[in-house]
Amino acid sequence: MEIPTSLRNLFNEAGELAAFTANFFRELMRPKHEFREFIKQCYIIGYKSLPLIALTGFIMGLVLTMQLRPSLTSYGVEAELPVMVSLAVVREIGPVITALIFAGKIGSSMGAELGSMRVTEQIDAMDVSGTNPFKFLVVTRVAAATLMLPILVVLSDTISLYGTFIGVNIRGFTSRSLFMSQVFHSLEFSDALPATIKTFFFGFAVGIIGCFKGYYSKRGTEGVGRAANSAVVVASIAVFILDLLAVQITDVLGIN
Amino acid sequence: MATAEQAYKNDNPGSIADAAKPVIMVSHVNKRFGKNKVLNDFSIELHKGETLVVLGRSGAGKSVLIKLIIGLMEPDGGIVDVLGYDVPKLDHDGLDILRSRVGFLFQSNALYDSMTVRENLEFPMRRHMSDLSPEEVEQNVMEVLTNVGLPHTVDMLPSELSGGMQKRIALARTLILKPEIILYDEPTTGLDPITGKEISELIVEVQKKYNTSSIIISHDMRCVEITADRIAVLIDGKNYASGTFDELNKSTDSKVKAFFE
Repeated sequence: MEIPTSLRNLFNEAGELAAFTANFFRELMRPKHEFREFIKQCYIIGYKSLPLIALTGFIMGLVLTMQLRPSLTSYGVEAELPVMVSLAVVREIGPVITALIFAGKIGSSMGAELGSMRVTEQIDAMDVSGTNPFKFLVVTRVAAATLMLPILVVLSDTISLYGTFIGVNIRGFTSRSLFMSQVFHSLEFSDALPATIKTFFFGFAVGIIGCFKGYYSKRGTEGVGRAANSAVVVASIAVFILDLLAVQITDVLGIN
Repeated sequence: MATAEQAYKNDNPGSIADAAKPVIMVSHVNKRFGKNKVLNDFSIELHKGETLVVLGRSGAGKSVLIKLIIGLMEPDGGIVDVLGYDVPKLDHDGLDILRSRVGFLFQSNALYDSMTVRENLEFPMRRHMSDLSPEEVEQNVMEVLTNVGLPHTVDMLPSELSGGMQKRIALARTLILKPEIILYDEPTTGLDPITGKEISELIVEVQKKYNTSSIIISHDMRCVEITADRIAVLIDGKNYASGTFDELNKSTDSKVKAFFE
């Protein structure tokens, strides 16, 4: 039986991505690290994503609160609104939504930037000027994405809780101290820790897929567009798959 | 894979002990992409101080040739010897050493568009001349920019420059490490005839000033006439004919003549 071309291409790409990932770890361990470029990438990937992540985090908390209120009211547990929303945001919605926004912003920009550098021979120019382009471009970006996403998620969750507080107070009144008391009384360390740990993997997936798509972009401007687009699509799917795995692992370990 | 020293065949790595020995020797090289044989038993030599133009039609394999010379591609067979280094056998560190002595001007200029002109020029220096003080780096940047006639562009981005200016900056970046050999990949492509002539004259000027040896890939006959000491015509993957501009201009071979008409 012959394997369909699309399936063969999928396996080929998965193999290339695995080799690319192995190369990342090899270059990460080898000395002569590009610290200056890494800091620059942390600034671009982390700091410059902050307004977008903050805005979406705020809206996420607000909208979730407003959507949940009628259901909870019908069951007579409206008072549990801060607890329900904060648990949902910290454990699941915050990390996943932030990672998806991150994939859209950072994954696409990595795909497009590296793709355009490949097309205009800038990666070759780096190679002939004695710089390891993989270490300079890929290792720094993937490391920065892995490190920055968890920080962005923590900030997004915090801002989201502020959105929740406003949402709770749109209809009714809950003082800030009561809100905080309810939220932090219900949240446990085991809620926040697995959720934070998985965001390192989300960040790594977005970084490595974005760089992979851009670094091996086919020649031509069409290839750059395709690299940016598929970086977002594949990274978003990877986030969901990793989330599914994370849920299974925390379930098996009994920290759910 | 061998280090630069292991790959060198003589006792004195990287130095040209014999003045008559070519600085680049490409001998019986083959390279194919799938079924397409781009280079077929191709051979050329470049001597110190010489400018060799490789002339050929688009897609003939000219760019592949210089990418083999700088180690961006590997040949399927044959010898690529540059400054005494057996290029296909060099490891990453060996290639780094070689590339600090061989400059490469890309057809698309390949300037880093997120960096200013100054940062573009400092980039190779940070890799190969890390012992220089900031003052010396600045001095080198301004010297090389003055040599290409664009000292005022130092804080501009590549996107703010015209095609001709970008080409000059790309040449400045190639010159900043003071290479012994410069490889030019179609240096006048995409430029208007006047700017193309200026770039060709600039190539001759820096050639004299920096005492470099050069291989220029081109099919722009104006550029070829201005720059070439010797020409090799690449047809069907082979070094089909070679000689000076005047010699080839008088050739009766129809394939060679086609370039000069």
